[in-house]
Amino acid sequence: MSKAILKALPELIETGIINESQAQSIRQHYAQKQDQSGNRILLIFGILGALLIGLGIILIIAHNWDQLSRPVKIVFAFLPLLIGQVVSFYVLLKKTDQKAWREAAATFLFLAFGACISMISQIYNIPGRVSDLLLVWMLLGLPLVYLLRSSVASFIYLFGITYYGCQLGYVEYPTQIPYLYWLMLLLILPHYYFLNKKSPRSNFTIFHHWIIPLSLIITLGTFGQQEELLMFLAYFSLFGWLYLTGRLTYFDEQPLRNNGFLVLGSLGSVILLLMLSFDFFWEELYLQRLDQASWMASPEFWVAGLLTLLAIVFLYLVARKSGLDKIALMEVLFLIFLFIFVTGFFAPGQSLLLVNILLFVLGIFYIRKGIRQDHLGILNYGLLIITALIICRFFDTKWSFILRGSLFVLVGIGFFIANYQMLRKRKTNA
Amino acid sequence: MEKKYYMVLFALLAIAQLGVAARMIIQQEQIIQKGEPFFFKTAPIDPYDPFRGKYITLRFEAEQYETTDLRTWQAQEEVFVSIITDSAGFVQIAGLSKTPPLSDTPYFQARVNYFYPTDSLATISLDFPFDRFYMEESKAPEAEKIYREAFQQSKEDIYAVVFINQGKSVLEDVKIGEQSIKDLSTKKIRE
Repeated sequence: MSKAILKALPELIETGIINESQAQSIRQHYAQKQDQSGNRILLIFGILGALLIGLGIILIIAHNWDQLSRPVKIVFAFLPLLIGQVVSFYVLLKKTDQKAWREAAATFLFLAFGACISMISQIYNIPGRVSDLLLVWMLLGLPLVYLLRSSVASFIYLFGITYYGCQLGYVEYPTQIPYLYWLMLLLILPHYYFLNKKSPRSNFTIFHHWIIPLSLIITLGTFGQQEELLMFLAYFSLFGWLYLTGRLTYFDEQPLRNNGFLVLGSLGSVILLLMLSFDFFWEELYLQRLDQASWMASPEFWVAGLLTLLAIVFLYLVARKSGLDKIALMEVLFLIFLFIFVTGFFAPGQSLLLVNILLFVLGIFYIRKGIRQDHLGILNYGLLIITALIICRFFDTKWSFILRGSLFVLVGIGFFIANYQMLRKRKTNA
Repeated sequence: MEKKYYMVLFALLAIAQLGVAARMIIQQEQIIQKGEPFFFKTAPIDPYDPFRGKYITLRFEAEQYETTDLRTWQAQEEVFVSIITDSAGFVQIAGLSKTPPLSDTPYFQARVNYFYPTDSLATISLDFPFDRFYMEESKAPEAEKIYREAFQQSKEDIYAVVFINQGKSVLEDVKIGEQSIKDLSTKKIRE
């Protein structure tokens, strides 16, 4: 494309469509663009190279060479770490304005440090837990994010602390709540903030929009140690808060694929509602309704409360921005759920019914919204909600096969008609 | 100016990274240099224990401890295990305590797995911390087989060599008779 334009320039000047100075600025524009794409390729290969070499070294170390003596093994454990440190130091000294160098050096050093301490653990058969190793690794890798301004280091860190939280909260016996995870998550937020300020449209920033909420969703469950029923409330408020964060002006102006907060918040809420559209949860809740005194003292209660408050604050922010009348169902879903949850103490049957109605209304809402905005994705999201609801009821209702079968056929026809109508409307409009 | 600041911080980070790694080595070396070796008779591993790849999981005879001392112990509680050596040279538990023993008897830290009291006798199942022996990935499966077969034949003593110093322990080797399981599995693979 650019080549064709550049070739056509002399002709355009000759015919007087553009003048020489305009031609010059067009040439400059493309020269710069090519320079940028060259930089980007260097960046990608730099990072990939560092990642592959770093991970490769970890694997080679994992072989645990028996014929090498202990001192030799120790030298090999330190070698990649020292190389990483020297390279990073050089980058700080000479190449500090080159992103590709910074990212590659930080990635390699981060991995090399992990390789070093895990090799020492193997050499001495140190029995320590995986979580202890991860903690040391992540805390001494974190400064690389800031010193070398590296987003890949930030991804490794986020992955590592999530793994740490899961080890402590789900895997290692006896499990415990990984409070340190939350502190470590706070430590990465300044980087995320600067990233949003400096380059709000860059891929690194967009990846963060997805990875941070995902990490939160995965790790929140570690709070559920005893009073697991309360975690449903906590998760619902988390999803509500994520969704509302995605509705803040900054995120709302971006395309949907960049808005991990909104998408994950919405999907999470719907999936949770689908789970709660079965009666097992409500029966259990009803049985435990008398244990509320012990709930108050549990960490699950406090985390659910805190997240709900947080979501309410964000609801206020969104309402102030777009006006109370513009508040959509999804934005207050967590409050509706809170009401349904409390209702469950007295009337589990009604709660169950309400959840099913809520899902149905949500489905209809998105179908309508999809049609109004002429957006096939939103329309099909609504249809999918309804379909999922019907599939769930397929399993636990005593309706006859004929009735259930007919329902499926009807929804299937609905899919066709809705999509077809919209496409036709688009054609006539165009 | 800002650059200088970054360089100093990076130098500090590099020192911290090297320091943490070096400290791990020094701690272990100190146990080996200053500590004494003890021989722990191992017990057969549960054949259904998931095979972990490049290390063998060890169980020890002494991990099942019977005592007339009826103090209660909680599962997962940290305990201090005092040890003595029997006439054959293997470790026996002398006693358990909740604080480090004051006498000169060697000891190490372990965890209570479960506690089963009866009227006159309590059984305490312990988890010793040195239960993983890392090996070269190609040798570990062979070593595991040799280890299992040795228990079936029960001709020779199977034991772990553990260095202990002031409550800290390092697993040095696993032996069948006089030979290290590393050498045995190397030989077997070459045959």
